Amino acid sequence: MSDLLWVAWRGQRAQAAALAALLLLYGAAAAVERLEPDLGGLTFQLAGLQAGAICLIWGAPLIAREFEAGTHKLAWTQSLSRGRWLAAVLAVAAAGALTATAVLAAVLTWVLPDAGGDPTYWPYYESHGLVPYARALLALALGVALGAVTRHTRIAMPLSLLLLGVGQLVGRALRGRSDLPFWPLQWTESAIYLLLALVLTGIAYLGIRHRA
Amino acid sequence: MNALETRELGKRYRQRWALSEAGIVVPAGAKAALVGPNGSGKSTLLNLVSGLLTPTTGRVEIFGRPLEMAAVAFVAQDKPLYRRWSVADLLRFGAATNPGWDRAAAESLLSGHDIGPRERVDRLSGGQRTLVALALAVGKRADLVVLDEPLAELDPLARTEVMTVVRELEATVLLSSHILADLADVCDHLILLGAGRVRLCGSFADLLSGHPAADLEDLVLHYLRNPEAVR
Repeated sequence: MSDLLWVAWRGQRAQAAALAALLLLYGAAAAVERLEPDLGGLTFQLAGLQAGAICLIWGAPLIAREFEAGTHKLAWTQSLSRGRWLAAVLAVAAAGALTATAVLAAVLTWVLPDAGGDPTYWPYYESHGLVPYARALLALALGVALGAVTRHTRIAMPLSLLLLGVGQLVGRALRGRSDLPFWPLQWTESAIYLLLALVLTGIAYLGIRHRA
Repeated sequence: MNALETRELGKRYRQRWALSEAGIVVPAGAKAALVGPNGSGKSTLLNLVSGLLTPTTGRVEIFGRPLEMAAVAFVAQDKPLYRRWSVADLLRFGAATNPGWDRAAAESLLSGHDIGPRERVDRLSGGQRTLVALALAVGKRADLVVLDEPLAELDPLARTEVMTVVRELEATVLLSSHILADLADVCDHLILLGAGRVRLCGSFADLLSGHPAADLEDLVLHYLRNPEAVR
């Protein structure tokens, strides 16, 4: 299995580097805000874009790119099943998405150790607790599923980003109507995101199971 | 013993049958050439035999057993490889995805053609890429090696090199090509497809005996010109 994870990592290291570069830029912006606290929560606002970046850079091309280059014909005619191939590829991608989210959370804590104010105000709520991790996995699964079904990055990228944005707005609207406190709300929302991510993973698998 | 046998094999894409009722037999150790005009179902048949596609009807048997991924090595049309990877990366990929991986066999094929492990795939020539794809197929140690148009877009020198490798493969081989002349030296069996159906299937010797055609090319042309002719 570890060899298979190496294969998956070899195929995704460019995505990992791109996301790392974005995080570095983000870190630079955060450093500026730490020196100049009057920037008014720039770091917070930018944090909301992380899921979109994961979806665009990592999720959407993951399978669509294999179809475009024809390399799925290489990957899927070795001795392992497509299910195992997908599991290995997704494991590496999920680890990357979660790591990026953890790094971002650490940067945020460093810039604004004491946020204060209302914890349910969206920039704070969406970048703290469990929700950013669950959302990162949902963004990844959404990109992967649309890439597997449409087989084109140029379709999967904008479409998944659009759906993710709509989902984010719907989430905010629903959250506003609920009167749950911070943690129960976080748990509920994260559970819904993870469930959706699982469904999307299933769709991705069905999308590649019988196709050549 | 037959290395490959298909029964009633068919594939439908929406309303159109790309291949129907295909029954072919390739004996163990044979080198079978698959020929036919564009759109006759060659790639569909090879994709079914390699397990890349799931058939609509019928089945594929390798040495009398239902098709398993480990039993067939496949080099798809255009030889898809991860272009930014090194040759060594690809060999590691082969080892990780195939339990019966034969590292020595794959490496000796490459070193025999001066393809170093550190070279990047996108810097290789078309002939070299074909050889890398063949090395992956050889390393898999499959009972049947399936090659879809392995000679397309190769210069004459590379073509000769590739055909020499194919001729020396220990496994049973099924390969498709447009150029019959290239196949006559290497292959001993012929499968001719026309409009999604098998028109001819057998050894060169059997097909030519009792037929007025002077040679294989003549025979193939005869069947292509007379769509109703059946043997």
